[in-house]
Amino acid sequence: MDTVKLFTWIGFAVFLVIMLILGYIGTKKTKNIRDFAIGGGNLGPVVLGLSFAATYLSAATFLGYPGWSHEWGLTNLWLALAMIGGGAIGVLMVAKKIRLLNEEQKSLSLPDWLGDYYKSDLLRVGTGLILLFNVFYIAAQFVAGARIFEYLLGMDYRTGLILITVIVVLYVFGGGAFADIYTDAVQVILMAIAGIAIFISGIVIFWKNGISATFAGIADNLAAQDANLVAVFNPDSAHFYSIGAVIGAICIQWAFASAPHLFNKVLGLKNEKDLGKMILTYVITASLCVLVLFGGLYSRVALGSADVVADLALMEYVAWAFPAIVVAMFGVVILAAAMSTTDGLFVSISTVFANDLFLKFLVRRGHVRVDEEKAEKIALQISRLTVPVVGIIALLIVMKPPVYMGDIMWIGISGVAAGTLGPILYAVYGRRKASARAAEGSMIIGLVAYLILYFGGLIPSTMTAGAVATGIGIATMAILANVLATENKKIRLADAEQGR
Amino acid sequence: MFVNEMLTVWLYGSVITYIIVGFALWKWYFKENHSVGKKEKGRV
Repeated sequence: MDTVKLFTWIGFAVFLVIMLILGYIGTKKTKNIRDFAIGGGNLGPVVLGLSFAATYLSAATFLGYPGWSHEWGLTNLWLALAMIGGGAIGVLMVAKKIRLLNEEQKSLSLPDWLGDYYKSDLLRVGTGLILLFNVFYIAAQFVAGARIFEYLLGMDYRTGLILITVIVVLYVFGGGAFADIYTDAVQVILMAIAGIAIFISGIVIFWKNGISATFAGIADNLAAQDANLVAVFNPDSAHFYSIGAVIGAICIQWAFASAPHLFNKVLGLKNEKDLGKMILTYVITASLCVLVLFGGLYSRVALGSADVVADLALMEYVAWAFPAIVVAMFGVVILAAAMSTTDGLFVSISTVFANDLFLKFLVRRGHVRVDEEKAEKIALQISRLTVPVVGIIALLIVMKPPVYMGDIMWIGISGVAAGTLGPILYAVYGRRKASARAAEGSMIIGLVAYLILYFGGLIPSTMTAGAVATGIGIATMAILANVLATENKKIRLADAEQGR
Repeated sequence: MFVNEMLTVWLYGSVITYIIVGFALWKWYFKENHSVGKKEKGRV
């Protein structure tokens, strides 16, 4: 066994033992569906801020996005701006109002929150089903895990895929949100350290009498390979080929900040006054983590383009630049990134079935007749049993490895944003409450627009298609809310006249 | 300009982004909490 393999096995074993201990502690604290979904609504700002960052920054940040940097060059730095700017502004805009509105509703998830707010079961069930798009997101994280096992342990891709699926499913099966949030905090600290280490490593390795000269050397090397690698908009890039596409990427990152698995963190905070500290923790941590995008650029400078699989470009650079023990540690960090996002997604999808569909729809509407205590128990069982089923579906999606794991991930995020952002934003910023019909219309039209734009091949970029469809969903919401409000007003006036 | 156009966009874009995010965070989350806290103290 070579040194990298040995260190990788030891690193994974130590990491998994720590995660399983935290998961076990989480299981002990998980007594009902509220604990499973949002950690009982009783967690501190720094832990939740770290968890928010860990969930927001998936393994795509460490494998997929540096792969884009490797393939498309400096233009991928737009992504860093979109993630820090778009994501942070998105969460700043909605977090406080969502918490405030939830003080009365006590909702556990996005479908629950929207269903309660607009008093619409169609919206509750529809949003729940839209969240199944996140299976793509989970699938992308599995790709990352499989790639790491493939690269560091010499496993076959499919064997690695099955192994990562089993590890993640077993780990989430026990702990729920408590395990999710505490393990996330540990994982994102590792991710931030890795981000800083990668960024600085390139400066040290390619150093030339000062920072400007060093980056000039890096840019010159890239330009010598392909002039488009230093362009502001690279025509070869799938996402940053024009100003319109860049705006789309920023908008979809902004929309992503309201994603359901992130939404859970905002609801999980004990004290509303701590929201600022939570967001500040997230911004600082995320800023350090996204420095890893430079790893893809360094990889291109050091290794050129030949025979490098985009999703493994960062690992190729790490193997080139660092000793075996550090390579193994990076493998563990990427596994941590995959797990920290995947467990959050599993929790949000499980909550859809257990809480939003079973408790709030089937039991509350009398379709299933059980007493409250038994319903709670069944809900917790459903939330746990959903995990292996979703795991298997995600595994099947990526049995054949995709070219870019980041693109698979954005299919999920864009679908969710297109269907849900209109009703969310109108709830938060609308001057008066819109009707349920307006929210339902926005959900359906936003989602259908995304399906047509992306799967119909009209817009090839997942991010841009998602941003345009999200815009259509928001516009539909604004128009329908006003049209239906006017209609309702006319009907009320006519009724009043008849009454007279 | 920092090295070339795209690195300049990244560097100054990051600075501007942090200023906007920092200002929004202070105005919407820290300043309001602080003034609410003061008002509550005043009432007591």
